[in-house]
Amino acid sequence: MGENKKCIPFRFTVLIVLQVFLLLPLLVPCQAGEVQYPIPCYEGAELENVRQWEKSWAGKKIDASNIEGVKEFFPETMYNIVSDPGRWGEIWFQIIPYQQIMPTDGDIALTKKYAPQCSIGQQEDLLNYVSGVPFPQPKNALEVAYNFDCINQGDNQLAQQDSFLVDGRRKYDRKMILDSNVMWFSGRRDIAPVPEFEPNRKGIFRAAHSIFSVPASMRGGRALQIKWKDRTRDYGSWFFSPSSRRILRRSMAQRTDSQGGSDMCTDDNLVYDFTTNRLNYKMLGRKEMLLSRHQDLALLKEGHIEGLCVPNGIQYERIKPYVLECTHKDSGYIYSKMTWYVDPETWWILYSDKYDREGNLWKVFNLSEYLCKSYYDPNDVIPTIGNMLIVDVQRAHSTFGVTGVLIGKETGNYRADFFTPQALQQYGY
Amino acid sequence: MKKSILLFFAANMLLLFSSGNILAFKLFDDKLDIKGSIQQTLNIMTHEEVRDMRIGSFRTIARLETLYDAVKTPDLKVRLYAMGNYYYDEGLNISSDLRKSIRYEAGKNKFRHFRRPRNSEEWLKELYVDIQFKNFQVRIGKQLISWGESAEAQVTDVINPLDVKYLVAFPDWEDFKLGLWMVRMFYKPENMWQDLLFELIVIPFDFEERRLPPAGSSFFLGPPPMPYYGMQKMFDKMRSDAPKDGSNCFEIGLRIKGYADIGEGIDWTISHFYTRLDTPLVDGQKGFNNLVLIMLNMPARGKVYTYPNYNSTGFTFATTWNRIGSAIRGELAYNTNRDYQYGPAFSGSDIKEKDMVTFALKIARPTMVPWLSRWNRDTSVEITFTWYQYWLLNHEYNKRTGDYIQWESNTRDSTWTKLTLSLFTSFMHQTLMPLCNFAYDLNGSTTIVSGLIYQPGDHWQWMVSYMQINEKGLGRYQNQVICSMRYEFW
Repeated sequence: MGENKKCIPFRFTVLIVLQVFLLLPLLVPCQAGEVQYPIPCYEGAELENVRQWEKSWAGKKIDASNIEGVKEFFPETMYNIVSDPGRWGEIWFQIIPYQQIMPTDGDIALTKKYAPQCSIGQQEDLLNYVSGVPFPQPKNALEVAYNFDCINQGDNQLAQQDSFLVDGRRKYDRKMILDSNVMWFSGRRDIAPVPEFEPNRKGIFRAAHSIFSVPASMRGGRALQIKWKDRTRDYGSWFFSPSSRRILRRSMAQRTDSQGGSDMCTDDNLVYDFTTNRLNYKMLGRKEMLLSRHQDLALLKEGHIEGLCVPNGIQYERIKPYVLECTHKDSGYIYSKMTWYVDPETWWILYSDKYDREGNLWKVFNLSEYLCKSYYDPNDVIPTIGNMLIVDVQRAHSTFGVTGVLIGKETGNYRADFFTPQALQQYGY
Repeated sequence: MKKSILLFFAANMLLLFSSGNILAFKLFDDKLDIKGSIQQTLNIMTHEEVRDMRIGSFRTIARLETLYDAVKTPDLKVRLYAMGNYYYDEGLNISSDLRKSIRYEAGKNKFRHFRRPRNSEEWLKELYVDIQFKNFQVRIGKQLISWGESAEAQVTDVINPLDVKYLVAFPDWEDFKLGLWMVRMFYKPENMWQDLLFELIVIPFDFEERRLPPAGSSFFLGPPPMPYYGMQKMFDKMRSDAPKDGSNCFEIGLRIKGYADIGEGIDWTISHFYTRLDTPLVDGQKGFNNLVLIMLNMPARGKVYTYPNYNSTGFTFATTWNRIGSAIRGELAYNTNRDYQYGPAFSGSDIKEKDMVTFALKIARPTMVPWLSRWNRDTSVEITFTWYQYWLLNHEYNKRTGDYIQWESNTRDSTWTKLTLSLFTSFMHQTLMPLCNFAYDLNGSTTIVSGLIYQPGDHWQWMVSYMQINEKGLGRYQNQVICSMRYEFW
């Protein structure tokens, strides 16, 4: 009897302790581990290894005569181009040392705050996203794709694209020039209001209002594209035609048509510009590769020769991108397969191979990242794309454009009403 | 004539192989933006008729467009915009048949009318100042406006009158509309439901009648030659009887534009426009009597024609249906208190007031044609189908006397249906672009216009097109081949 009396308080204590442990996750916010962000490409021994390799190659000009030395790290499809001067001309590029790219303070803070609540829904949509990088340590290809989808591009941006449409066979160029005012209504990082405009009645994530200057037939034309917070929703797209003075609504089917004779369709903007859940993704792992970062844009401008599809002077840095294989859920899509090489520090897709419906390599995308200073805060530098090179390897044709990006500079256009279809007509002539 | 045509083609070949930006304008610290083009066009009639004309036109067209940023601050923007379109037609110099035909049917004094624009009313298309201040915008001056969604027919787009002196094949939009002096105001309240935009246009005094080609010219859709310049005198009377600029020509319109976030999003407008017909009616019995006098080569004793007012209420929408990969646009116009001629065919002195409903539905779909698109690097063919439907309400037709309401359909029916199909694609990175347009009028003719555009670089464009009108009436005399060469600069 006496022993039983002693056991009762002990059992009761054990019961209480067990209950506390069981209830503790409910009482205390679950950290699920501290969000680690940013994560550099290389650290420790790996970084040392890269530095050793760079001693032999950094600063060097690489062309057809010595490209074999870096073949193991160079994108295979670009290797095939550079090593074939008979078809593509004499092309050289440069290797530069690896430097970690740091996100902005706003990006880091918002990622740490909101990433834990992000998840993938049943429709492969992105749930509970507010701002920042949703999956700083992605577990699968779809999460990498959403990281790309939510890239920090500076909140308010004016991208001045000056593109060449290069006919490699006939050895001449045409031009396409357009300015794009882009504003993020949601997912904002640094420029107030953060993280979102209030109210945002229409649920806009990002809107772009573009003005065409060249060619002459498109001069004065304006285009509006709206991406919604609901990531499963088709983009809204409008075009103001100066010749008819009308606003034309554009359907999704028009997204796969070539833009102005270039090698890109609307979906090809920055490699892929449409709803993420339209593709199936497969993670192929990570790979040591030379991809274009910290690009000196002046070098590219000087490096273009009329009629040559690939400009000289692309700068490559050794990093370890995620490699994704993507196929469209629509079996009739123009590309049967796409391979993406995603920068693990910035989440830009810096390289992509796209295959036609017969499974043959059709287009090669080589994007050059550079650090763009923000007008809003000179201490902020935002990695953005300064050049997008698309090479149609079947037709020896390319589209290559150097984009000057002004981030945070007040242009008077960063207002909600500038990103409406009505604005296309109001500002159109 | 042969020498001029040979020179034309030789110039083409020379310029085909030239390159470079001949003209480029950057002025006033890039505040002034200039764009323009020079175009040479040759029209060759393919259907012989009593006028027996082979060369219809040999026209040089110069277009200039300028935009000047006078003031640019975050709250206030002031811009000046101008667009002019001047032409000179050398057709009379190279085609004696054309000269003879116009001289016989319109008189030698109409040569000038054929050769060049009559005055600045015709060549100065737009000239206005655009002031944007916060949520307000006002444009004051001569302007061209497009309301509506369809380009092949005027449904709700009835503001600017047409200049049909050269309405063939794929005309440039600037070529067949006449600017009007007006005030156009926009107001866009912030955070408004459905992003509403209010637009008010006021045309205080300017009236322009529809411009018609001189009788006997290649673009003239008239009966066989009439003596004493009969048709031309009718045209001249239409012009002289047109209201003179003044407060009696007042027109006003209001349009509300919005975006409904329903389904895939719907852009819509509602509009109302109080306006005046720009093609006249015979002004009752008095007008008819004067018309008879003119036909008898006698001076008229007063007006023949009248340009009555009417109201046009419109609704348009545009949306997408991505399940079928299409953009869908539609418009509906209800024209009330509109006057029509009533009487026997192509005559009649009575005027009756009727209402008309016009509807247009347009579906545009880029389509992958199985063998073509694949060979053409997955370039789609843009297929656009449009259905136009007209209803004349309370139509009248007296079978005993043969009198009926003479309306746009040119028939005795109270309804009119027109279907159009247009096809467009491109090859070689949009350097070669074929296009085709079929129009089927269920009451009569079919029209086929097909063309090929070659645009190898940034500036030059060559086009050859063929227009064929299949009907038993006068339209078939407009079958022609049009060759054009254009240089664009900016």
